[in-house]
Amino acid sequence: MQLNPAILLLLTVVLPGVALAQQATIVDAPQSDRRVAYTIDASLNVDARTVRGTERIVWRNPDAVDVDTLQFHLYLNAFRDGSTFMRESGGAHRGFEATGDTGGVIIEHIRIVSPDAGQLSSQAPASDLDLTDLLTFIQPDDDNVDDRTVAMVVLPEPVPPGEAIMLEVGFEAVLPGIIARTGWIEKPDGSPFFMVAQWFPKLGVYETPGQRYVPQDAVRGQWNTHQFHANSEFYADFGTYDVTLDVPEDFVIGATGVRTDARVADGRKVVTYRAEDVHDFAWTASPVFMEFKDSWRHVSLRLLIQPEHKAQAQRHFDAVKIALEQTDDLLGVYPYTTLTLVDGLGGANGMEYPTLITCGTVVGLPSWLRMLELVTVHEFVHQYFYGMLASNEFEEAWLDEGMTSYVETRIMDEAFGPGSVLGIPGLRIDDGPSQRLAYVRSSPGRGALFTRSWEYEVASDYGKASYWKSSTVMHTLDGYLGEATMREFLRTYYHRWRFRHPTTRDLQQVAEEVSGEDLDWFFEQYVYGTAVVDYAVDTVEVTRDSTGVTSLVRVRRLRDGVFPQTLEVRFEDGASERVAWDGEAASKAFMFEHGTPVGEAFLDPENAIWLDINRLNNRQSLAPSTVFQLKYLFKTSTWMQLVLHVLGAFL
Amino acid sequence: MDAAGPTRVGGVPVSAAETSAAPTIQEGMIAGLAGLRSRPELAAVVYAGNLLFALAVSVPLVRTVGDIVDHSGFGDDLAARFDLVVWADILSAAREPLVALASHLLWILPLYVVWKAALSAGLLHALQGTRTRPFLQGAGRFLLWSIVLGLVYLVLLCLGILAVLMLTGLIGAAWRSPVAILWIGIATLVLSGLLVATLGLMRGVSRAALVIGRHNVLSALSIGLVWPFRHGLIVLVYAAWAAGACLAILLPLMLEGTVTAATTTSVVVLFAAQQVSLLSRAAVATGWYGSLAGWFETVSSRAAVTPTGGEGSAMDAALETEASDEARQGS
Repeated sequence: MQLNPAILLLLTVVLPGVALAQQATIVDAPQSDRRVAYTIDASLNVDARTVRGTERIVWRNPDAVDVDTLQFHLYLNAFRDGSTFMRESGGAHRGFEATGDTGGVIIEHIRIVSPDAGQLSSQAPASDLDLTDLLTFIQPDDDNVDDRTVAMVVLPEPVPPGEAIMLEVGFEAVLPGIIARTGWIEKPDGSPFFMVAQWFPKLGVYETPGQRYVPQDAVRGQWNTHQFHANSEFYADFGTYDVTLDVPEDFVIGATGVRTDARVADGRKVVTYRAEDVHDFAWTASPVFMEFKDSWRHVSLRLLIQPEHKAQAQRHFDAVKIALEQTDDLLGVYPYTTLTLVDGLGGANGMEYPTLITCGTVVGLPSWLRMLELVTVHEFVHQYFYGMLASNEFEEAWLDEGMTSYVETRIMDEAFGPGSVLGIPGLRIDDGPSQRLAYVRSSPGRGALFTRSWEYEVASDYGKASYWKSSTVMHTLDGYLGEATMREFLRTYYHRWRFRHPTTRDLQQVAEEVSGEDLDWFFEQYVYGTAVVDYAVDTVEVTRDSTGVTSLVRVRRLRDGVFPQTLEVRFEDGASERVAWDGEAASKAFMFEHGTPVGEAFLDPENAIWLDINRLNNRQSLAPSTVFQLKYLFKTSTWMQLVLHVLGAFL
Repeated sequence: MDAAGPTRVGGVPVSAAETSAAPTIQEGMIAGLAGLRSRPELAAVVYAGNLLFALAVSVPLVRTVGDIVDHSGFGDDLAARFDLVVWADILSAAREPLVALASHLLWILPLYVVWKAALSAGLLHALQGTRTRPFLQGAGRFLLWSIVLGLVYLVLLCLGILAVLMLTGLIGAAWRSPVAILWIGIATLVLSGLLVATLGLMRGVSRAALVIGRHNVLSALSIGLVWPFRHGLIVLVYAAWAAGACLAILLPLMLEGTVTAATTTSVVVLFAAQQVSLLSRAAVATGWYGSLAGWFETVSSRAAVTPTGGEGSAMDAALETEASDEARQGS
């Protein structure tokens, strides 16, 4: 059954919006194409650790041809035994093991309904519109028949182009013991905590011809729906969410979007949220959350924090305000009016959902160790790279995690200066350089950025490529293009592609357009390929004769990565000279004739090529540094004296 | 104290008069300061010994790293600021020589054990009584048994720390919460620190009993284990010197954190300031041994006036023997 789009618009977008006490975004008009609209009624059973719900889904066919199938994410089934997630992860995710309490989502019914069907589930639709028995599980990514994270249904009637279909789905979400940021956990005192993500049946993305990698001349589009994997779980269409949650009265709820209604009756709290131009909805609930509020310009900030961490509430707000300020400057405005920060438990922390992020900290976290700030900034930046620039995380995780890591490092290092992550006397660790180091020290020649998340030959390469190398690649592009061009590129990319699903190709196209140059050489080597950059100053030779002093500087390319180089030589009389080299040859000699010999030769003097895996060999000096020897001799002997005094206490 | 008769401490009878006639804290501190004033060269010995050990490690270490950094051109930059990336490259390039160097430097550890035992014995010997006694004589004469005592206390320390870990582990198993993790961690550190300090005090007393009291190792061990419980005030004297020692150790660290030394002059000035602090640390160590020697002598001599004989008599006899030995050597 298809619906008139005008009626659908009235039902799903306009009417709920009229009643809003606070708008979900700062713009009145839709910012995305809103292909979907979800209306969900859900109730949390704390004892059974389940969420029973009914959802009404409206999907508009964006194609120019009929579409006769629908595909769904049933991602809670990832936490069933035998799923692809369990196989890939071995039942452990980022240091947290599955507790044995598996989860899953049970579809109780799925029907096509008409808009005048009244309240959800109040009237039984005609039996010929019941699709429950037509639902089949499919495995688009592997042959694991035990994986039930993707389902498909063939419609009795296709959905014509531009028309919409409304479905009603009854479901029960059985929450697992918390893993991969989903499920429940009890605190030692028995108080429960629920992180409810990937919990409701959700449509996949139908990609039309010309969208992402579907050829422009294709006859029809196709569903792009992936199974839930150990390292990726996000790709969905933008739309609206109207979600009513029913929880025990003493629970504090945090959720995606704006709270539009709240009432208490019979010991239960019923709260309604509305979110616009988002592609997911997650929520959390616990009776022990402490709630703090703050604001930044148009954004209402809400922090739900564990009581034992309340002393760190201000650190959360300070960090997220820095992130809001700097992303506004670097990329563009954060258009939503709310942001909820959640201090979760167990494996719930360090995750992004639309307008809701989980941060996490520990009791007594010292101010010089900014892990809280780092996680908060990172997850907030995901509101851009994931939230609004909704790339396909399964296929191009680097556009999501990598771009976020890059912007995160910029924010952390600019906001907190030297020692941005860890700053104690004698040891200062910055965010960007530490990510670069992590890339350099973990087999840099393995694992391309452009790789499907589950197809890395070595599992750990996912993290390296998607986070650390991506950040390093973007810093290198930053150094190559220059700050002004990089900023223009980032802003253009954001403004052009927000509320859509950009690809690597789209990002490259924007970079080329803004910089005015073909960047194939860069993307082919460092995004699609695994080239490694390592250049070295090989020798500096000086010859003197009657005509003057000649210095010969030989530089070498040690690995397969080619990158344009700048060689700076500094003469003994203090003068300096720079020459450019395309970096292609394996070796190149440069001759300098000057009144005095070359005292020092330096490749990449601005330290712009972050991808170079060994900076130490970029430079050669004929005169050793006496101050270094002296300083470190004194420093080491002082430290050794201190150590020996301490050791003496044991002897 | 048992009113029926003298108690035996480490096999040595100790009278009620001994505990009641213990020095005051002020006397204890004055004894240490007096020893320091009369024998300032001993602080220099402590400082120099420590510095030599430190240089024995740091010179080859810095030379190894220096070989890599010298012609890299990064030396001045690294002197000016910490650069994680370049240091990672340096350590990567220096991995093999540093590993080889570490294995070559392992001999430092047993040598340091010997030095610490010799230092303790030498200081106690030199700071006892009113006559000037040579540091080296005490260090040489009591070295072996001083080492044995040190090793016994090391074993006790390991067992004690194991017990602390087991205790805090049990508490942690019963009290599971994020707050508990923090407090249990703090408690583990505090208890371990107290254990190190307590055993350090006991070890000092045992060595005093060995060197000044001329007790055998077992007897000295027993005295050391019991003394802190019998003479509570010595604990306060020890704590006072320990506080000074902590300050003297923290000062170089604070200087390191606040002063950016990137030129030869600033590097030298910073080092000199740190060494002054470390010299004061050596003086604190000397002062503590002076206090300990004075305290032990006072308690022993006051105990000797009681009709129990024992410790005081044994010490007097030993001192007489030593005086005649020295007279013979001197002639």
